[in-house]
Amino acid sequence: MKNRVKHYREDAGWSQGELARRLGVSRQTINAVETDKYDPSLPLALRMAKLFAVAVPDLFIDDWEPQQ
Amino acid sequence: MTTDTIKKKPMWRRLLLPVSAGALAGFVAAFSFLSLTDLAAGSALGQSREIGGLAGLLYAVTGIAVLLGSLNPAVGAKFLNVEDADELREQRRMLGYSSVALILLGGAMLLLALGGEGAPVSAPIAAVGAIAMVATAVVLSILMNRHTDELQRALSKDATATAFYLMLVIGGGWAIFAHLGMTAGPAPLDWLTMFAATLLVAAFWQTARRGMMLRGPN
Repeated sequence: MKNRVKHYREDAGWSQGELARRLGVSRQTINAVETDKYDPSLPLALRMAKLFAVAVPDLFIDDWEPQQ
Repeated sequence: MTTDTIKKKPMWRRLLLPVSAGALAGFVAAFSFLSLTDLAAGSALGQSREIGGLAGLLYAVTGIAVLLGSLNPAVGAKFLNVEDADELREQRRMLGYSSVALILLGGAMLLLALGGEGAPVSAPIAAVGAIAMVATAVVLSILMNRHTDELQRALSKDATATAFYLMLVIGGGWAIFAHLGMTAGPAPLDWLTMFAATLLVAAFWQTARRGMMLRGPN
């Protein structure tokens, strides 16, 4: 799933290591999320959104639309 | 330093050192094992034991590489699949538990391959040694789990599931043909070798599937 984690992280002026430390995960996880290699769990996505003070759909972009 | 600021080297340069070092270490270890077992047993040990021993050796060599890399991150970053030396420093404790557990599991396989009737190590010694090593590896794995995060746990779960299906196909397929009398059945050690090998293959498979096999700039 595409995401804007890197955009918000850089806006906050944090390195991947700093974001990892704030979220309590490894830098490997942040890197994997930013490069679309790993979709984080719902709790981690919620914590990311809370940290950047945005809504989850602003961070993670899903093209799916409900059928009419 | 983050990966954003590092200019990545071409793939062949990133692969050159780890592949060369892995191939050399694997060849030396396999050649030594086969030569030693021929000398120790007076003749070849048999296919089951040799393949089981080689699987154990693969675990041990992998564990030693990870242990050396985590003890010396600057060097480890050149041949391990990490972003940089800092990643090895950050995960030193987890990698320490993991590498020793790998070495112990490899040691247990080697001991079993060399143990029992007609082999250089007596059955009681091989049994006690292998059980002690596997039990210690299990304790270390539980300790390691406390230092993993959700990505590592997800990879571990996916690898375990893949290993199960590989076992079903390989072990199950072999058992089907053996049951029908079309081939000899797997020896007990063959089952242990299949468990060890499929888990290792599954771990690489899942890492590659997520595009994480070539992570670092090396």
